[in-house]
Amino acid sequence: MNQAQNTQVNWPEYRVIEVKNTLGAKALIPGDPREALAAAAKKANTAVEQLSIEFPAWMLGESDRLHKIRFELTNEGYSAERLDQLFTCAHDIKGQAPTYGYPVAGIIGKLLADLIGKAPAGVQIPLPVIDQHVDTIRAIIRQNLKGDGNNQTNNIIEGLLVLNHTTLKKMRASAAAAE
Amino acid sequence: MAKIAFDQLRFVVCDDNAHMRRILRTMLRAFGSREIYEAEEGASGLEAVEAYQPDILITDIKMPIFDGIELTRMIRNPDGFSQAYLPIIVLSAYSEKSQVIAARDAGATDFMCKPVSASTLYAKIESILLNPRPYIRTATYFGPDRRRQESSFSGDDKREEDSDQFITIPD
Repeated sequence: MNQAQNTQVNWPEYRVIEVKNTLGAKALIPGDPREALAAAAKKANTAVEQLSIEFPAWMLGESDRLHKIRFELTNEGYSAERLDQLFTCAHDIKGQAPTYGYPVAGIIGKLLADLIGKAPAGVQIPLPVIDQHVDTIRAIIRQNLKGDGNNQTNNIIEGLLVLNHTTLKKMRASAAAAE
Repeated sequence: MAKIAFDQLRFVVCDDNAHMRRILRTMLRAFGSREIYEAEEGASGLEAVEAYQPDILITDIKMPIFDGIELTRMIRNPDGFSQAYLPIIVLSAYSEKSQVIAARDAGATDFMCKPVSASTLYAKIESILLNPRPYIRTATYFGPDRRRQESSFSGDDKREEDSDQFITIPD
C-alpha cells in the first residue's frame, strides 16, 4: 500500500497529501511495458478461454435465477423487494453475459435493468413486458446463441426498445394522473 | 521502462457473483499474482481488507448489504481506517456517468466497466503503480486527486468576474 509522507501542504480549505509510491517500488521491475502487457493479456485470455467450457452452465444458472425471481414476482406478489432482485439479476446478466460470449443476452439484460431503473415509483411494470425480456434472455441461453447476433436478434432488440419506450411513456402518464 | 511483478502484489476481489470473482481471479493468476482473496459483499470486503492488508482492492458496485460505493467510503477514512490509502478499482456493469462520478466522489482510484477485459485490467493496475496521484483531504472528501489532467483554456476567463468565490492559495 502507498504510505502518506509527511510532506503535507496546508491550505485553508484542503490538504494535498503526497503519496510515496511504495507499491511501484515493490512491484515494478525493469522490462518492456508493451511486451509485458501483450504477454499478460495473451496469457489471461488463454486462461479465460480454458474456463469458457463452463460458461454455458453459468449462463443457465443465471437464466434459472431470472426465471425464479420472475415466477415469484408473478405468482407470489409484485413488490419493490422482488423487483429489486429482478433488477440485480438483469444487471448481472448485462455485466457478465458479454464476457461469457452472449452479448445479445447482455443487451437484453440491460434493457430490462433500464426499464426497472426508469419506471416511475408506485406504478407497476406490466408483467407481460417483464415476461418478454425474461423469455428472450432464456431462449438465447437455451439455444446457446453466442456472438453478436443476427437479423433476427437485432429485430428482437429493436422490438424490445420500442416496447420499453411505449411502456415507460404509459407508466409516466399513469404516475402523473395519480398525482 | 518497467513491467509489473505481480507475484509481489496482494489483491482482494469483492463481488457478489462467484463467477465474476472466478474470472478476475483467473486473470490475476495469469498475470502472475499468487495472493488473491475474495469477498462476497461490502461488509466481508471490509473485513478482508483489514485481515489481508491487500495492495489493491477490486470491487463491484451492486452488492447486497452494503455496496462498493459504501465500501470505498468506509475505507477512505484516514482517521479511523489503517488502509485509507488503499488503491481501489471499482468494477461495475453500471456505465452511466452518474455511477462513475459516484465512485470517484467516494474516493475510488479508478473505474472499470464490465465486461472485463484482461488488457484493460492490466492497464488499470499499471497506471496505479506508475502514476499514483496525490490524495486530497477536504471537509467532505478524502481520496485520490480527482483531477487527472491539466488542460489549457484559451477562451474568456469568465470566472474572474466571480473571483470572490474562489480561495486564494498563498505562495
